[in-house]
Amino acid sequence: MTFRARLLLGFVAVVLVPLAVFGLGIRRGIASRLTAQYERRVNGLVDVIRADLARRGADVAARLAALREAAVQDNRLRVAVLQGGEPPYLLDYAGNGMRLAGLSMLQIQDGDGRIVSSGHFRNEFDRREPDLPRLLAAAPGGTALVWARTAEAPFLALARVDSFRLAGKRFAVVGGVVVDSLFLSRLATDSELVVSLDTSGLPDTTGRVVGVVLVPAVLADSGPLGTASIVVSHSLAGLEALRHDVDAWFVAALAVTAGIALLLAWWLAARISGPLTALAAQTARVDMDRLDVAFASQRADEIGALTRLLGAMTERLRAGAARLREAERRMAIGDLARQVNHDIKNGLVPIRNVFRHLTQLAREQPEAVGEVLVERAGTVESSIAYLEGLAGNYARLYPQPSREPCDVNALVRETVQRLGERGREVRLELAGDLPAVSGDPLVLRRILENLASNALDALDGAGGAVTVTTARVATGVRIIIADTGAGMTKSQLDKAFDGFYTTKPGGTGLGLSIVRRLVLDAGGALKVETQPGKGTRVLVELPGGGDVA
Amino acid sequence: MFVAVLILLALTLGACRPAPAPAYRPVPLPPPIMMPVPSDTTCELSPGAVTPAGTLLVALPGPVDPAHAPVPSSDAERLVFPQLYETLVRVDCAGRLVPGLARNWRVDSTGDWRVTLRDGARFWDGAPVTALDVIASWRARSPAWSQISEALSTSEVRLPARMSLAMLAQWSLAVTKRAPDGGWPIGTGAYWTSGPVDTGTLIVRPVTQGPLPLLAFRALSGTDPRDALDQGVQLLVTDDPAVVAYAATHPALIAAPIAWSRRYALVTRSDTSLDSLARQDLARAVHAEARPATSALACLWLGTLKGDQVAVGPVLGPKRLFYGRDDRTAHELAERLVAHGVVGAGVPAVGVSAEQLAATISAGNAWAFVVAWPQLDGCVAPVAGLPRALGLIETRTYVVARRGIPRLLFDADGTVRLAP
Repeated sequence: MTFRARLLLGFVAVVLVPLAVFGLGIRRGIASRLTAQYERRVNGLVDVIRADLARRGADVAARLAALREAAVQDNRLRVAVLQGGEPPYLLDYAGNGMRLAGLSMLQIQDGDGRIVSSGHFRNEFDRREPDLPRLLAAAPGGTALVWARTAEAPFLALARVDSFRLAGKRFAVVGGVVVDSLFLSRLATDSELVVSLDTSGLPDTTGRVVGVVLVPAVLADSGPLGTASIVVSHSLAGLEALRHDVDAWFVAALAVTAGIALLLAWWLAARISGPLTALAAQTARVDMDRLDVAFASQRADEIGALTRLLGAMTERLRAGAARLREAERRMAIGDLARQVNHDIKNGLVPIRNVFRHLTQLAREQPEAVGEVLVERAGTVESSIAYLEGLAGNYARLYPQPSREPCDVNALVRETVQRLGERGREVRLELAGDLPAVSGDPLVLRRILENLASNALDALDGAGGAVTVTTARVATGVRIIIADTGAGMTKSQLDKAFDGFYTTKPGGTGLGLSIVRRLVLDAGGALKVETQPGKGTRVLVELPGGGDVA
Repeated sequence: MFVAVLILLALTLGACRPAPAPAYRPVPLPPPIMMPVPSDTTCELSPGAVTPAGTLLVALPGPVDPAHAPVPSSDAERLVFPQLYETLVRVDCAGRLVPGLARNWRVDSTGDWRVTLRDGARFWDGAPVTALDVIASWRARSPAWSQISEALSTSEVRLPARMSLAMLAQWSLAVTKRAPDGGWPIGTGAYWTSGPVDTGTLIVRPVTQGPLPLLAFRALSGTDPRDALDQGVQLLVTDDPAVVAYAATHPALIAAPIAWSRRYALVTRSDTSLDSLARQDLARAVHAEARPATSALACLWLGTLKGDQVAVGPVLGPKRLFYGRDDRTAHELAERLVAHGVVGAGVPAVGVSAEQLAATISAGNAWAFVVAWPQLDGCVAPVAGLPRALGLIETRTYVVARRGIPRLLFDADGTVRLAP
């Protein structure tokens, strides 16, 4: 797992997990507190409804008692009931009484359960309904919900029963008030509470807090006495809406926090791992042949220190490599000296033998010296020829660069002049106070020729300019060959100093590789700055030394 | 011919595609017949010495719509329109044929009826009424009548002998012509109006100067009729026994029955019947003065039908017994019928407006309904396939008048008109 991935995961764990725990805790707390509050309000209203039903039952009882007293005193009713006179008066009696008493239903039955007058359903007279008074009388508290028939549709009424006697005959009076949505809404003193009636059984409590008031009920024309439920409920929709809001805001906060955390993590990762990655890539380019990689950083943190440490280490490696190459060179020279010594000895041995022979003859047979000299002259000449050939061979084997003070500006002008026609495209910006550099003029000329030629090639006939600049630096002289050509990509730059890599048709791919080796052999440093499409600058720094001859 | 071609084309097209379920099934009706109307009234009320013509304040029990004129569709319109419009003949509350716009009628040599218009008959705008005007007026509302009738002269109309002259008393055959402003149709009655009907008082003026007073119809608008009488109303029509009883106690008022002018019937698809005891029970259940219907099987009222067809479609929705919610007697009848389960156990009653009831009847999709119609209007015998129409009760209304107003005439359909 990369450092960047670890950093991102770390941020997620540190920021998002506590936020999630916080959100869930808030959500659970709101739900439990609101639910408890709803339950208190529902239970409170249940108690109020019980008291209100009892009060309304007593109120209905009082109105029925007043109607009972009025009926007993009404002579027209007595005549109509007992003697059959004035049928319209009897039929309208319950309706008039119902309206006067403020009731919603009123029914007068004779002793056989036959309806003699009905207020809420005038023309149901003569129908028998004997069970209703009996069931109402048996209801706890004397009050029950009953279905009151009408021509249009039955309605529920909170009813009681009373009775009176005329001429010894008993008449039941059933009266009540309607239990409709208006009645139920009046019971609900809290607008957020809903009061409903359920005659079918246990109410459904899904999605709401429920309290139930059980009321005796006559749900069928004939018994038994049943039970209806006045259901007080508080919808959990508000709580659900609150939860939804909390969830929405929580998700929004989570998203914003996650975004910020990810951006922060990305920025930190970029700040930390980016330089490390670049440093690693830079370090990867370092090997014994490429120790001129520049490790420079202005950072004051650990990465800057690491970069500077790597730069110092590379510097030490470069110095060590130079010493190593010198040691190798010296070792090679020693071997060569021993070989030369051996070869020269081999060439001198016949000559020495000829001289010893001639010396011995001169002492012992002087008259034979001339003859023998003539005989052995071929041997001497052969050996001398051998030695001459040997010397020529060794001279060709390794052209030893010379070390002499060189005028860089003069070499630059000479190189540009040697470029002939192409040299006209080169602009010179030469410093006037340059120190002489120590080196082989031939080598320096090869360096300049290669770099200038490459720069001109980079223009590729598309115009632009090549500029050669010289400047004094602390360690010697800096030569800058700049072109405004195509430049190089990073991958091209990485491969530019490799042998046999070229982007030019017909190129050998050895130019920059040779230049690099020659600069390093001269004790200098080489640096390339390039931008695709804008051009390339090659910086060559050569150590100063000596005066120009 | 054109109709025949259309029918043939429709049959051809119908044979080429699956027949859709018809929305309703048109049933041709047999020719209407007029029924004798028994009466126990004198068909006239003289409240006393006639006072000089002034303004007669009449209580209006409901709204009046000029678009209905001259065919009344409510008690209020039945009170106003007879003052404005005339039919050729009238049937008084005793069932007698009396002249209206027609002066006389006779059978000619071919056996057809020849009806002669009243001399000097004029529209409100002064134009004389001709036989062509009569036929043109019928063409607008009763095209069948215009096709069988013929103008023999400016004042003589010929009708086929098979037609009962009493049918000319139907309000759909009143003679009118279109008003230039599209308002009240121009009639031939003793009164005219062009006034608005939404101001609470409708003013109706005599066409000619004479003894007739100006009529001011004032809407009751929920006012107790007794209060209206005490506040100066001089004439009202009611079926409320309490109002009649109150008038009987008031020395300045006089009450008289008009006619057994309203018949209530139950039209139902249930297989039910009512005996005389049941109809007596129904008569007891209503506040209005009622008696059992004289016929157990009611005839269908042409006024509920469109043209010569009646719609009989499938019952839509649950079974219900419809009644006009503004008709107290219909409400009480529906209550009693539901209490006895006459149209089916558990079938409820539903009160609807007069317009909704008419639409329900026309659509032919109701299970059952209670309707009322004037005795005079034509009716047809039961037709196979039609819902059963059971006669329930007959009611009569009373006129309550302040003493001293002009003489009143009562017709068989319960209309009251001031005698010219």
